[in-house]
Amino acid sequence: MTTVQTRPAAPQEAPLPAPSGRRRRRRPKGLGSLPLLFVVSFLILVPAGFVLLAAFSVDIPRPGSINFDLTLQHLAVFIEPGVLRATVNSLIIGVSATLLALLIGGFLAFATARTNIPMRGFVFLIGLMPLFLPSYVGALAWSQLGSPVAGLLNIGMRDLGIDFTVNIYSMFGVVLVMGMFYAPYAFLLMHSSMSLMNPDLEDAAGVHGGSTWQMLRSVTFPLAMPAILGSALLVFTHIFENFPVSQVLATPGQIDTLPTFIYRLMNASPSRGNEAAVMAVVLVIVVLLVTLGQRRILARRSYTTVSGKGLKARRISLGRWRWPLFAIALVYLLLAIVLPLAALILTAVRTSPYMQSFSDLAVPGAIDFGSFGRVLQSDLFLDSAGNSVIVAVVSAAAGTLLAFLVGYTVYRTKAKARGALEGVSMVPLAIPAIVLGMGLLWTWLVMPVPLYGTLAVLMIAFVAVQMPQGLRGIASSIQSTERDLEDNAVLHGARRSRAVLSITVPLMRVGIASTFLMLLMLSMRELTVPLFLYTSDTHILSITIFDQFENGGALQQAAAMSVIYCLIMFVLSYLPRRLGSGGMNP
Amino acid sequence: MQVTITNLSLAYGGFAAVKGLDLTIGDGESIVLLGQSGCGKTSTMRCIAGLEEPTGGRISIGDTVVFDHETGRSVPSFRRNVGMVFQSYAVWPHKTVVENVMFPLRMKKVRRTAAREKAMEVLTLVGLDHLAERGASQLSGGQMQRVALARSMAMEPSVLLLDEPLSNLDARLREDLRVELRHIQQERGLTSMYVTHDQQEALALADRIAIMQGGRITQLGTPEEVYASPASASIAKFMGVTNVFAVGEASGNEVHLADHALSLRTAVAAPDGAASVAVRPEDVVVRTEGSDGFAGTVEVCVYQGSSVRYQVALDGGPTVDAVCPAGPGALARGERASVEIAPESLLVLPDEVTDTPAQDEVAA
Repeated sequence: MTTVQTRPAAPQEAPLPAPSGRRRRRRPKGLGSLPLLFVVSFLILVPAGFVLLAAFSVDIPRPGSINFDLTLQHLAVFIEPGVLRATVNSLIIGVSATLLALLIGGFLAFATARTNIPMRGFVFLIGLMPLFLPSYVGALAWSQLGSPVAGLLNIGMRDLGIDFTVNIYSMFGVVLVMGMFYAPYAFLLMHSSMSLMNPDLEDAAGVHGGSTWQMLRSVTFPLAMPAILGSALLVFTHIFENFPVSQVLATPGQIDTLPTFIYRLMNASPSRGNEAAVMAVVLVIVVLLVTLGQRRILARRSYTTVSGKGLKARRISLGRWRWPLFAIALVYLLLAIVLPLAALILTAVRTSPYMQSFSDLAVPGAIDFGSFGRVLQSDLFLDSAGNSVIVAVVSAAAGTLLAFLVGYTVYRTKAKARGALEGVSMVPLAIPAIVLGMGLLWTWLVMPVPLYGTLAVLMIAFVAVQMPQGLRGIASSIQSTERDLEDNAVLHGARRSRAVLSITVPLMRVGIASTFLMLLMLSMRELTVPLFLYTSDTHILSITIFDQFENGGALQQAAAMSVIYCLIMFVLSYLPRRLGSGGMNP
Repeated sequence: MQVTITNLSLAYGGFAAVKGLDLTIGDGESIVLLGQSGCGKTSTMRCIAGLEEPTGGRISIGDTVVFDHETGRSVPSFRRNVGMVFQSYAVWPHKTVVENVMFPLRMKKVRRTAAREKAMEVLTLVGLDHLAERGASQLSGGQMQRVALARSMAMEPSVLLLDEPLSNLDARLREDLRVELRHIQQERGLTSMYVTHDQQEALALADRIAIMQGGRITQLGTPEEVYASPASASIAKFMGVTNVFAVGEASGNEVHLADHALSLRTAVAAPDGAASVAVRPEDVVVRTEGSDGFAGTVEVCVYQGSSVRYQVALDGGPTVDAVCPAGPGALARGERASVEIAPESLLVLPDEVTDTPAQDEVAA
């Protein structure tokens, strides 16, 4: 696993006033870094190890029989005809949807950070809003809009006599939906890069003879390049490993991607877990390479130069293009938010699932808003929502605590294990959710503790999956809190633990609270990881919605539930922005 | 080329940064705008560069009017042929040194090889030819400053603007570069405008210094003039005169201090409305007790190498700063001393300049 030895920590409260001049300033030794490393590794590396083991052993891990008979026979899955096609499809979708996301995100970032587009605050929100809508809800909504026969868009066009059919169950549909729902990530990264640019660098181009266009071409865009590349790779990995959108939109169109292929292997009967594991390893390798590439690019070329003077990034006057460009932003809002939500609401209030024309809605009794009330009172919704809340709150709290312990050890102590601790905590970034889900399933089936089938296993899974996001949130807060303040408390006679609790934690309260809320939101929207772990007793909201849509029978409830779910997500995403000083506002 | 600024004003929202400023920079002349932060000096410079849109007035460079509020004419920055060295250097981090310097030439459609040749020539002048292929983000502050200068000189600007180019450097380097900058400016006959809040820098680099206060020029003159006879007490303070005392009453060649029972003799009759007297620390003579002058006690004594700086509390009077040559006979803290101030070194000044000086009379 890892080869880290830790020196036994010196007794912390040594009564001797250390007179050695060699180490004048003693750093706290860490809150027991080895047990911490053990916990984090167990959460993250063991599931990953199980996937690797399954890929090369004769049988999948089962309770009471982990077997180490190694074999290469499962590699045969590579010559199956579907594999190559799924890989190529995944790559095509990954690349084209990334380009689309960059185009949308880049356009909105440039428009809001650097131009005088009308209603800039609103356009900024347009760029952010799709974050509130989990991508699979977007996909489900678009399946209502764009299915070739019953899609609302197609019905509408038939009503208007337009002879054109949108088919969302296609490559085009998958790319469109993925691109739209991952655009906010690109938007946020590029927006901060473009608005932090030192305006002197651009002014210098103007003064030295460059026109506005030449300035953009030779200074502004090259300076934003690291952010553009970095967000491209980030978005690519997310899209490449995305399971639910492909499952909702690509599978009906007989298009396989790597994640849906893995899912099918797992759900085949008999289950083909070993082959799934082989495919998972391939997926991990691709994502790992891209992630490494992203880190290198971002580390090497960081041009974000912030000068001492007040920053006042120059805004380019768009002239007569102001309103046309604003209209483009509105089109994005329409496609990513307005139409999907409208489709969900319409599906939720429609009494009959069959509709030939929009005129059907005019018939008395065709629309019934009671479905929202019925869903809110249904056992299924109440159970899933209750489970979701319990799981999300517990896992966010545990995740925040663990992230704080790891963050403190990594950034505030000289513990030897801190490099390993940080590395292991970041591993889930490089492991696709579907793979981690498999690994967690096998891990907790095999473990001799009866956790499988309880909510606890979902909590453990969420803590493991969200470790990187939690650590990042805590790390930025820890790094901006001055260490001297805590050391000072120790100099004035407090024990280290006391100093942490009474100085550092209160100073970091905003950072800790927003990390907690972020984890809460991620837990509420996570679908792929619990997909292998839930049982009929442990439904959570995301799973319930997905199931109801997939099984087709309860379209109306599913849509109503989605709308309620979106409302919850919106509130949850709004809170951390209120807390976090609103620094993202333009 | 000659730069003429007429009645320039600039306001941000309700705040007037520049108020009706007039200034003519002669061809080949170096003007230094000297003032505290917020006095409008950088804003004035940015108006000339075309980075700010003035709210009134007229600017012409050579025979070309680049801005005229009356006619609404405003030549965009990139057509003004103005060079500018930014306080943050604004050297592009994604380009090499030579690419930075070639930029203005390429924008003028100079061919790549010719542009490169010219850029290398300018880089040699600033002593950076050996770093031409280095990435600009790997340079030290002093080197970046030279790149920024080379980049502006390569375009052969009609006027070169320098916005506190030395303020981010450490003291030693600052002095070296100051000499170098003055040398290049004079040798090349560059028309330049330099903005700073450092009076030493201003004295070293200027043909004429324009003191800016509250958005206008309150004194314009050669470094010698501004140094020897500041136009007001606030300018005197800014030029490093630490002994400034309020005047209560003046009669003939005698001024009485407002806050102390002490009177000083002046060389010329104090004008009406005299508000302050000022004397440079260098002009204050401190001797052992018993000599001519006011009696007092040494409170602080700071050894500065070639000189000693004293603070002497005069009996029944103010505390006076003095800078005396170091050497035998230096006084220690607590010792009694005599302080002499020659009448001709006393400046009798108004607190502030109320009317702006007529520019053309003091032209170089």
